[in-house]
Amino acid sequence: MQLTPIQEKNRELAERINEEALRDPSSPYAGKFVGIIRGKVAVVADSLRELGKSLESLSADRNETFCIEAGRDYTKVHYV
Amino acid sequence: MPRAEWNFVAKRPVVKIEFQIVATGQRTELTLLADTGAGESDSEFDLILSEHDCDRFDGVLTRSVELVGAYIGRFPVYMMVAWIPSIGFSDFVRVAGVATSPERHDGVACLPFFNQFTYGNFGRPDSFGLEFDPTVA
Repeated sequence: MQLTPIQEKNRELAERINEEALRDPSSPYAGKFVGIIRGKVAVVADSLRELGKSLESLSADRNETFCIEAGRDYTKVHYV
Repeated sequence: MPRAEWNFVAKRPVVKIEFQIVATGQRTELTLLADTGAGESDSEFDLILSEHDCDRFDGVLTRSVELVGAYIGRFPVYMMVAWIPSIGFSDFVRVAGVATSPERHDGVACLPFFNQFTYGNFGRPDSFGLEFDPTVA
């Protein structure tokens, strides 16, 4: 999938946040659901539902939005 | 506790889930293969749909996941809202977007999705059902 420059910027920030959360369990992002809009953290939530509702209330353009559950190992392979 | 049941499609268990089409504001129902063996209890995705559907249902991009088995490779994951009105279910779900859906189904519902319900055939060998308690969601 081809990312736009804004999506790429969002993804890079999400990766930095995830690495920080993995490295430091006391990070404010560890275990949190983080919403990023146009390269900046816009929402930090305790659940996917809370994150989704917060992003909805911001009416952000979905093409400029990115989400991550911080502190997870995204290199893991899943069997389907 | 309210229960939804669906007859098998192509001799396989299914769940029917509604998603909203952004362009029209209307919901559409998709028939997903109910595969409790897809994914693990802590996998970062609940459902698998075509990327086309992830796009038309206004999915918000999240991290990608690496899959093996029926789908092989790294796939984007989107967050979107799903509904099963008959049992009062409405929530955000994580959906892996793939190029093509399984034959005769619109996608796959995976183990992490089912873990929020009581699920099974409830004594009917040709159907699959979900029970959901909205008061504990």
